[in-house]
Amino acid sequence: MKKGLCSFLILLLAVTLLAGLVTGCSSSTTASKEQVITIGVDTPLTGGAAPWGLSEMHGVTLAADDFNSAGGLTIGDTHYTLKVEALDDAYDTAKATNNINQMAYTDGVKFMFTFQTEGSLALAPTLTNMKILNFTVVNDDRIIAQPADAYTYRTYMGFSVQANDYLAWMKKTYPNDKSIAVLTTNDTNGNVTEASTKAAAAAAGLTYLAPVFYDTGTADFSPFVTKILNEKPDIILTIGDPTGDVGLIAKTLNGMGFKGIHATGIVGAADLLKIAGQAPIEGMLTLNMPLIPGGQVSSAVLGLPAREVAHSGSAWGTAYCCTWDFYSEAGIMFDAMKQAKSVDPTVVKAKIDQSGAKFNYAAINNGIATFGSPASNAIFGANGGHQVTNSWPIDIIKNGKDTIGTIITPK
Amino acid sequence: MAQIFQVIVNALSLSLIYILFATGLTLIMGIFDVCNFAYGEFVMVGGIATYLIVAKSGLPYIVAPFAAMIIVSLIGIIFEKGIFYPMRNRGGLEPALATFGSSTIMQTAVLILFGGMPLGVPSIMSGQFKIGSAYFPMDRLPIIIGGFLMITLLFLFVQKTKLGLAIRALQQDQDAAALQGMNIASIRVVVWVVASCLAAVAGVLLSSISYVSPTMGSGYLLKGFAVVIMGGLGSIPGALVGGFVLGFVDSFGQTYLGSYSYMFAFAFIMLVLIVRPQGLMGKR
Amino acid sequence: MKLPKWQTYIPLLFIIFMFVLPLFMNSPRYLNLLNQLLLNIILAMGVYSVWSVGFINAAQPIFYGLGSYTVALLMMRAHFPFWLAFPMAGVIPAVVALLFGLIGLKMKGAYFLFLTIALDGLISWLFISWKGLFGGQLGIFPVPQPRIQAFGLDINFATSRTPYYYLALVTAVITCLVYFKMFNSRLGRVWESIGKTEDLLANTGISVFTQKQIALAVSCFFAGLAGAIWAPYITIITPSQFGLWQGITIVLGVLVGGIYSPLGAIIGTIFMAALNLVFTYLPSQTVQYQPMALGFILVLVLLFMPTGILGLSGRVQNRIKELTGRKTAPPSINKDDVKAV
Repeated sequence: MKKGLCSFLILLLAVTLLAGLVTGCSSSTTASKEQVITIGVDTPLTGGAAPWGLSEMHGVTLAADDFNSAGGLTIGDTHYTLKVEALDDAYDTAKATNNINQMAYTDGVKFMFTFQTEGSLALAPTLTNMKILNFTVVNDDRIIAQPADAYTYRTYMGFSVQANDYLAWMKKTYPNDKSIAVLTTNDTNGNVTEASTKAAAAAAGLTYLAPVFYDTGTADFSPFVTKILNEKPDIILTIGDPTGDVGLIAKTLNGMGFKGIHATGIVGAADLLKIAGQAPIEGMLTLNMPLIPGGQVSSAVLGLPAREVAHSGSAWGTAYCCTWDFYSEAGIMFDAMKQAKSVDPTVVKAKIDQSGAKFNYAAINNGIATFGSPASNAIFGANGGHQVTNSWPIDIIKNGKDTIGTIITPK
Repeated sequence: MAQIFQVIVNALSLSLIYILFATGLTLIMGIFDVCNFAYGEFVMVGGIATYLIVAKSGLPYIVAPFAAMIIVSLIGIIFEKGIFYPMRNRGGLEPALATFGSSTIMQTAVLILFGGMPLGVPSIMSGQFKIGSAYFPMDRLPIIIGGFLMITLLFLFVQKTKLGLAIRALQQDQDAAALQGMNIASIRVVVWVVASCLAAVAGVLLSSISYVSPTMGSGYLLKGFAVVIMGGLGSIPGALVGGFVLGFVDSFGQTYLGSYSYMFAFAFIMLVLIVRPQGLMGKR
Repeated sequence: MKLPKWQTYIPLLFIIFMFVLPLFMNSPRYLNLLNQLLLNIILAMGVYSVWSVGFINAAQPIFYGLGSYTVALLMMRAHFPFWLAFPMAGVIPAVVALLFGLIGLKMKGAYFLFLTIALDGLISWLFISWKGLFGGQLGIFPVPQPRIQAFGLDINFATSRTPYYYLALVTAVITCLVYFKMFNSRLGRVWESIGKTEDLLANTGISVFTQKQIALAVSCFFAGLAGAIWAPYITIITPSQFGLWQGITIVLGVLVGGIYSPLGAIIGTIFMAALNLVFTYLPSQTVQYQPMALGFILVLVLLFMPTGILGLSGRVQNRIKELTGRKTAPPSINKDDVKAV
């Protein structure tokens, strides 16, 4: 028994030394005419959240490819290109902290994308101390409530920023619908949705009915739909719910004779069609970007699904829900580097913080993204500058297809 | 009042979903006395087969259950020969952990192959009919018919056939059954094939009312365990009773108590186990 | 088993090695990994002890979480100093475990496993729904970090990871000492026999139920202490961190190390940490296959290496002895192998 321990200790020592060796080797490369900037991505590539994480990895990688093929960035006599390093956290707090620490301390990453809520919140002060620029998609508003000099920015336009415009547009477009109820998950997403809708309903003059929460992993929505229909709402909001849930809810609502408006978030009509069929989704509102030529959809994102399939090497032609969105978010960071003419995170951060700075939002023709718009300042006050506001579409599903109802552009 | 009627209709269709899932599970858990964490993945493979046959290839629906049964049975036989039979004398904990590992392997494989986005499968029937003021979705009809058909066939098989008698003997005492000269190894395979066929049909029917994804099976698994434990390990009438009890508790809880229902359901199961540790229909 | 003198010092040397490790491995990244490793070792010892009385406690992550919430709430709401809140974070999970044990430990394996799954659901539901106390899904953030100012020392846990490392190390060493003391006493032998011949034991007048209660409560006490270190360390605690399947990685480590010995629990946990470190250096195309690899390791270890790494080394030694013809002690097969049969 003790011999086993002895040989094991020797093995452990060897692993320790090896790790030290690897650390020593990855010291900074000497300055040359060609330089590669590593973009770190910590995201769930396995487990239940993998569809979103894979979507982020592909989106950031394709945006970096486009940045490089557009000539990269030349400063003085040095030509910079981007390389993406993606690590998997399986949406686990401990793994996310490991990955962010690895990228920050060992791999010398200066530009980062994070996804996991607890890991991003816990390590935001560390990233600020080390001056590492981080774009996160965390749905928890406490990521915004960082000190003003924080290096973490939210490039996912949470529903809190969109709620006012979304509800005001509904009120204007469907003047006969007067009450709204939220049907959402009993988790962080759901809490954000509920709180934002409540505030926005008051502002838009809609009657806010009691929300209904369901447990994640629900297979049969009939009990919850029965409960919400009992309140007789004109509009039912399912923002932030996973695609599959929205599809099943649409099917159940239709089955129980709901005639009002079912409004949801970034969920593609094509996915809904496969789950619920055509009749239940007709007339639904979504915030998806229809990847169909014409209108204001930019040509840059039209080709993304095919490129994503090629990139992932998937035999089954797998393309994920919102790669266009992650692609555009990464584009904001790369555009900021271009505008700042720098690969120093401090300088790029100064550009982002600059009042009135506008960046390209790639998914929409002439789409823009700004930090600290009046909308985000109204919600987050002094920290509003850490929240992106970008151009976004409201779609109406007609004949099983997304059609853009309007594009809302930040002021 | 109108709402109560709807809640009862919901409860009936929810119960049938739970029963459909739990019958195969209770068979395996009763005979081998092991928690099979991979059972959800058996059902998921049934769903994947449905997706490939109905949604991808456009073949008629009737092909799906048979194809699914063949595929899932093969997986079941691999489980028996690879995990359960070699570990038959090692208590309940170690095979349970092995099924957990297998469940991870199967989920990951499907995630890599199919990508984790929900895969839509068309409903067998669509529309709804109205009973008084309550709506009943037509897509639940195949579940009711399929579920009752399955349970009846299973019941007849276990009670009326010679093989069923052997299975019941195995359930009571494997060693005694072996001493009687029964070929334990091949009867165990039969049990796996039967349970796998139940899982496959459940996968086809459940995917027709929702969608297919790598985690679709594990979503039902906890409820399935609850039904099996409540009804009594290995008891088919128990799964029936347990399914109805949980379906009604869930439907009423979710409608009238909201997110409190979770606690309500589990508190109820705890209560059942304190009063009857062997489950509602289980034997000591 | 009589050991040569120098081998008895190995654990001591190992502890000293761990104490001086931060001197030459002071990157925050490695301190972070080592910290998680130490907390996992504490949890793994608990998994082992409950396993030795014949159960799997699927709710262990939630007891760990209960410790985290206890320490955070006592510091923030009751303004307890950390050093007072810290032991309380062990006591409360232990009390909950004792209450749960009154029902659960009377059941057999499969039922107990399910009941712990139910308990996990129940307590997480409590964390989520009792927003006033536990903060709901958003949890508690930021958890205050301790600071020691005594004897002219000023150790601020907020500015460095090193104090956490030493706190975790001391706690882990104490945990292991307590467990090894217990396993080598009469109690430990009783536990071992519970897992195997419970019916026989019941005839000897030993209350099997009480023994099971002790095993469960002690494991939850230490799990709570580990949670009490995690909460201020990570500064944010949420219900989703303590989900059901978080515990399976701990169980996996214990299995790989060797489920039939407490030492195996430690070795397996270290092995899994090392494996995860190696995984980060593999090309990113392999990332998606890693959970599959872990699944295969779990199944293959259970099938072909039921005594884990520890048993394997014994088996290899015996094989070498056989081959070289120096078969000394009468089939002195590893003691662990005998138990596996």
